[in-house]
Amino acid sequence: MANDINNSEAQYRYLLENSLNKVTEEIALLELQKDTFLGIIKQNEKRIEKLRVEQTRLKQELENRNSKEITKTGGKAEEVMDTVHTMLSEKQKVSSQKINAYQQLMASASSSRRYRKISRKMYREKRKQLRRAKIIRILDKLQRATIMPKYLLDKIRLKRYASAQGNYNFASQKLAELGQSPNASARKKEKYEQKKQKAQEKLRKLKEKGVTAKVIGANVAAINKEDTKKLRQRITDQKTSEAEKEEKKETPVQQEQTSEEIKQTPAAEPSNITANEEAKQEQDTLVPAEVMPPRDDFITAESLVEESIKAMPLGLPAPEMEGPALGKKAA
Amino acid sequence: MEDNKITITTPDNKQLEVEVLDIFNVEGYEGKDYIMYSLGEEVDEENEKVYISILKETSPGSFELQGITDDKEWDAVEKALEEELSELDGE
Repeated sequence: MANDINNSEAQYRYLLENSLNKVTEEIALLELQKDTFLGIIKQNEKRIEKLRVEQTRLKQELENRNSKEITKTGGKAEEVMDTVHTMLSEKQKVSSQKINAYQQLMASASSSRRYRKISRKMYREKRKQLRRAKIIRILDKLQRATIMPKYLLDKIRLKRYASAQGNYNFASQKLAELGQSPNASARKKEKYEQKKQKAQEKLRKLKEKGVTAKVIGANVAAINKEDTKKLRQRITDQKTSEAEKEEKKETPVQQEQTSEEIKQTPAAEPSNITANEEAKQEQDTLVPAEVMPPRDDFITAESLVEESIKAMPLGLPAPEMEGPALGKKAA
Repeated sequence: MEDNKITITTPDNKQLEVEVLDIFNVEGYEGKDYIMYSLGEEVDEENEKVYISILKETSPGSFELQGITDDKEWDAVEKALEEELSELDGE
């Protein structure tokens, strides 16, 4: 009867589906726009950081030059042009003074003849001033052109620095935000879980029936007991939670056995370590052991024979050197 | 057998039960697995002796635990372990 619907219901469902499709399309479009905007925002933020760095450096450069009273930039050619510029500027000042003087004289001229004479002089002086101004302008352009390579080089260097520093600042900001974001701890937890699961998977493979694991060599290290405890918890954590429902009774017994077995380890082991091994333990870094070829006498030091657990009499290929503890250092 | 205990075969063909503490990867040596295990031995009151080997599957169902002879590789393993342990401290 589910197929037997009235036309009114069919039409209603048609309308609902239409609405659903429209809403879905709009969501997809907005998500795309959001990504685009986010991309633009990100690019802008990066650009802003780079420009800020450039701004700071330019300000510093100007202040530096002001404070050090730098009066000259460039080599011999610039020096010559600076001299000419200075000379022309001095002459311009003199011309201006002359023109002012002529204007005052014109104002107080006693006759029209005198007025015209002074006016001609003033006109000549003004023409000289204009010519000098033109030369000064050309000189400025010329100096800018000669200085330009040096300035451009500095500018390119500054831009490169600003770009790199800007990128760094932007990335640092983002990292700081990520660190504070609520997702950071979730990501950390996810990473932890992934590592745990990976270790579990490999361990499961090793524990399968018929699987063999042959020891050819090993490197020795010393790790803080608290850390080894955490490692144990991590690698057994998942299995414990999975097996808990099925093997509730057995689990406590197994745990007791673990603690008992560990306690059986003789406490006097360090004193049984040979002098050779003691000296090697004092070294600052862990170094790899030499891989020993399989041989009849597997136990390589008396201490290993004595210190090995009674139930487990075998040691491993003797490491050449041992190092200090990883993780937390002993007090 | 404990959840994290496995049996390994020594070169003189003796069976030895060890406690696996971790199986991990190292940056720069992504194709390899490394295994850290313990025989329950103590170095001193605060530290425990552990063994670290390369875990290699030579054929389906057959593994080899090899020593790390390359200095660079060992440095990388050491670094990876320190990072792991610092992550554990953060948990």
